[in-house]
Amino acid sequence: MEPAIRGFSAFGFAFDPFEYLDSTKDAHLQEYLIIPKAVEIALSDQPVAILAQPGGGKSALRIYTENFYKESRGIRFPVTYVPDDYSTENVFHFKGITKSLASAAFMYLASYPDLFFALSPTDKQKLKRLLLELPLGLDFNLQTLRDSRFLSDLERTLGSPAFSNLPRLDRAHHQLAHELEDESPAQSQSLDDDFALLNNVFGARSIHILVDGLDGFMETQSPQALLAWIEPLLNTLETWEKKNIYLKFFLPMDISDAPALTNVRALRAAALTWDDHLLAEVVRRRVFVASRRTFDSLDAISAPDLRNVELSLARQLGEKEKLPRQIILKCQDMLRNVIQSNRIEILPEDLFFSRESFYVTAI
Amino acid sequence: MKNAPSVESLFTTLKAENEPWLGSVFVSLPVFERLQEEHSTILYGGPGNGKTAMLLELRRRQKENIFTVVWKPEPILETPATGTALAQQAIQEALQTCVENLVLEGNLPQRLGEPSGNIASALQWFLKNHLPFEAGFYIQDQANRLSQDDLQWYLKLLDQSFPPIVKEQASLKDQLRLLLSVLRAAKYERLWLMVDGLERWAPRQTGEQIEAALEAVLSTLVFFDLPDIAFKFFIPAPLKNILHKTSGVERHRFSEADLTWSAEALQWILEKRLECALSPKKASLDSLCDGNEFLDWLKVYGGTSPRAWLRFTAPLATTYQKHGKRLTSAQTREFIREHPAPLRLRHERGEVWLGEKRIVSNSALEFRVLEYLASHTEKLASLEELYYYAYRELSAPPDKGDVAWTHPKTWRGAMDNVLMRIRQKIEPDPKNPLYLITRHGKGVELIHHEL
Repeated sequence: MEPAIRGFSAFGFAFDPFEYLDSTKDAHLQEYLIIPKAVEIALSDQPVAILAQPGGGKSALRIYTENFYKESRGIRFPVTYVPDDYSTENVFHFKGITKSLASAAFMYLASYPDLFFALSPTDKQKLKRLLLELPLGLDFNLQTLRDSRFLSDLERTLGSPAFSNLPRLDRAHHQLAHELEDESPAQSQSLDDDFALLNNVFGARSIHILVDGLDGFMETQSPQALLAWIEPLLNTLETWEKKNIYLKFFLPMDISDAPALTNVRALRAAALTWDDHLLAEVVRRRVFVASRRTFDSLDAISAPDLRNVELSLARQLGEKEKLPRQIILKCQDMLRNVIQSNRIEILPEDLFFSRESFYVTAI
Repeated sequence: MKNAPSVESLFTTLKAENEPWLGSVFVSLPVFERLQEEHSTILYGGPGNGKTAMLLELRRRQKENIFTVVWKPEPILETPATGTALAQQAIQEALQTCVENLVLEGNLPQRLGEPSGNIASALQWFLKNHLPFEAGFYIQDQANRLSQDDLQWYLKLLDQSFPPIVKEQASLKDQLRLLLSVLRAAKYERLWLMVDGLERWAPRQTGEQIEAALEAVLSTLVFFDLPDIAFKFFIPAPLKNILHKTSGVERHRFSEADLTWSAEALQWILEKRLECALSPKKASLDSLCDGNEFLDWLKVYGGTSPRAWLRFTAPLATTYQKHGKRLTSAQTREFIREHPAPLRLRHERGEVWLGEKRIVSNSALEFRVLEYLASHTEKLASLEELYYYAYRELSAPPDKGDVAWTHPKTWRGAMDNVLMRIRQKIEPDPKNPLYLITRHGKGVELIHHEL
């Protein structure tokens, strides 16, 4: 057993609640994510822009939203679009969304394979047409489906989450792979046709396209360049909204005042911001889940004279550091220091521990 | 440890790459624990600070299910590409390194056996598209590094015909997912890319070029940002400021750490090696000499560099091994006098260093005297030579009839003063100099100096 794990179990934790600074890798995120009221609109049926600083929880909220919709078993159908590349080609984003749609549709079918067998021949052909857009092609993914034992194998290959918690892949999946292989694809179809297909065959009443990672390219660092890049998507907001297709952007805060964004009537924007109390709640929630709901504050593993440990930690953060990532890092460093010191209790001096040689710029 | 390396090897190799015994003498720091975590990390360290040792040890301790690749990005000198295109150029280079490492170190024939059609096809595609030469030629060229069976396994794979997997429009991220599929089939759950060798960049490029190139490398994170891939950057400390400005570091998922050594940790390095070379009983400085005396000296002249501490301790360990006797306090002092920290001049900055200690001096005149002596080590320098070089900026003393010639009476005192001031700054005991030696009637020389 790693010393760190041993240390965390001594605190009464089933796992290290501060291990992941990167929400996309955190398996417990859904259990302990804190969503400030202002950004609950991310879960509503309308086009939305969520704005936050790097490390402010955009990707965490995006993943939470995706998982939230997944629980509707496809009635509110989530599609995550994170561009893989930068291009100014006008149809670039639409091609990317088609690819993401294909991935989500494939994972939906893999989650509920019996659904495919009951479809009309026309719908099967249309689905096959859409699935030809899968990353690395349909053949590769069908073979992966045949070779995989668990849905998680497919999730890792496609980078797209499943819709159900099926423990194992079975005969139905082999049958699905077989039928999809034999099926002829429909003639070419537009993105609108693909959306309609999801409505018809999966019963999707609304489609929520979660757009993230836009500012990760060198060309999109300035707000103007970023806005110019997503303009084709902004122009489709109203048309798509009428069809219950909602674009949800997760954008950097520095774009928030740009008229090109604020003037889009159909788009509701909300800022994901944090104060000391919310950040303290981030810590408490993690402690609660990691302790298997036994206690909900670091006070429980602190010296008797220490009160409101998480709030004290949050208050130590500078104005620009008031972000979930920074409070998680602070807790991580503090608890590791306690473990290194072979203790199982936080002492007053631990609150002011900072390892100067470690710091995080952004996550 | 069987066949323990000699004292000389342990203390003077000074290059982690050439230390097969590193695992037995490695000293772990908290920062090393952080490197072992799943997260992407940037480790900053000065030259000789142990970055490469950390990298090698990280690889050595690697779990079987993590495939590690050391990527030494080539300096991107002249390229028309910018932004993402430049980043893609860098990621292509990274992919090539991954595939080469996979062939040479991945044990794929053993791990994959008879791979499924998909995996065989994917691997064939990578071999054909991401090796530096034509795949068949490259594999055959590795005959001395691959066993005959492995060689045949690869050649058979390349001969087979598979339906194409990777479509033209497949993004680099898709290609990486495909590579991860191959790795998973070979029972590697994760890929760690260790980025090293950026020291080679600094002297060859100026600020903006480095910044653009580093930006390109760090922006590859956008593409590599997959749950099963982690980056471990080993970065020279002088590049830290440039790195901070790159969007890759500013906006992506990296924790940063400085590789710094306390005197206790440095002492531990020495004692681990003494233990390896001598015996556990002798594994302390105190068993070789008056430990405090020597340690205090190391702290001053060895700075915080493991390389310097090892280097300066090497003669002590050798002497002990030769004579088998602990040095007394007086002998330790004498030993230090006989093996002083070398004097180095940093011409570009006009700085004088004794070991890792920088000598504070603002005098260009004094520096020029040292500069002249350092570049004329083959003979003693006369005061006249030093005067005309340092004061008059002439490469050689003029003839007596020359207008530049002045009588020695006019400068002799000034030169004696300059030499005295230099000694006061560099000599541990100015009355009993170690570095700047006057040979009466013959001239002046600089000893214990290194380029």
